[in-house]
Amino acid sequence: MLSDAELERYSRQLVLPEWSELAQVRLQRSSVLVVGAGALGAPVAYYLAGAGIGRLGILDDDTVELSNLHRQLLHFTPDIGVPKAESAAAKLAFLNPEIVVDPYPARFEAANGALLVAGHDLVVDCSDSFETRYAVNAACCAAGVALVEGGAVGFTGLVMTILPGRSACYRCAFPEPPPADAQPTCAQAGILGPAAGVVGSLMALEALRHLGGIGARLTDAFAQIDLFDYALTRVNVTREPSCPDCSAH
Amino acid sequence: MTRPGRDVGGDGRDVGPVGLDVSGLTCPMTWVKAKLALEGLCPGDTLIVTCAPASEALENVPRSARDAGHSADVEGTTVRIVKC
Repeated sequence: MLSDAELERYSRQLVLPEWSELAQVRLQRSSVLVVGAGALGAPVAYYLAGAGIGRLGILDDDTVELSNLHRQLLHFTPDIGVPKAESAAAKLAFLNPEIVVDPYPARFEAANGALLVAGHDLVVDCSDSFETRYAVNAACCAAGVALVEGGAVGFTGLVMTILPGRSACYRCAFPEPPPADAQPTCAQAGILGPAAGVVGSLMALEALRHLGGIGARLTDAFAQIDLFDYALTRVNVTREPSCPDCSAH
Repeated sequence: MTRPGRDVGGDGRDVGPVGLDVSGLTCPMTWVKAKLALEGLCPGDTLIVTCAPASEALENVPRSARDAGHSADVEGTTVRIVKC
């Protein structure tokens, strides 16, 4: 049962015909790890905290820099030099004191991946490197933890939901990372803050759909988002039987 | 939520109308409360919603209920909703 304060806090989602008290309770009982508290992680964490996810882990080993502030909307000028995980957790605690927020000032790597994803119902990967992305995918596949994957650079983005053992994983869709010099990072390519915000918002929407039980829509597919010409394309993918990340699980 | 005229059916389940007072609330909380109360009922069950006199809830609650597929009637400050 939701308290009167919770009913009011979540009223604008509870009135949706597609949402329900049961969906809200599912969120309350969920634990989500957000990998990265930057341009994607900030809107993801904001919306998940606001929506009432019971426990939210925020993982990032960076500190806030001046050049982050135009797009990383949980960090502000006085936060420069503060660990992003701590900065984000502090704002999220203000946003919704009804939930638990755990800051993890650490880096997601293959060596600690199993430990980091254990116990979570969902991981939302908002990291900005292919190395981390493949490590998160592998850890989630091994642990059977659902994953919302995403990335944004320039005016383009990608969002994909992975249900290990049931739908294609990130490596099924992208077997190998692009050569290191072929893929620009945000620092090299630049990005407008709202473009990252749109992609992060779609990732949060997928997470809420999955956790609320109304069904994620981007399984066995990814959304290719072109924010220059405003085109959202669904690209279907299939499970790769010999995928080293998901075929054994 | 109260159950005026409580009645127990043959299967042991309450079948009497369920009462809900939203007279101290404003939109959208009036419909949020009614919607969640309906979620806990079975098709055919009745929810009696008491609204404040001359309040917008007397229009919004039955309209939202009908939009959701339920049948709804208003009498005075009472909205009677039968779950679809």
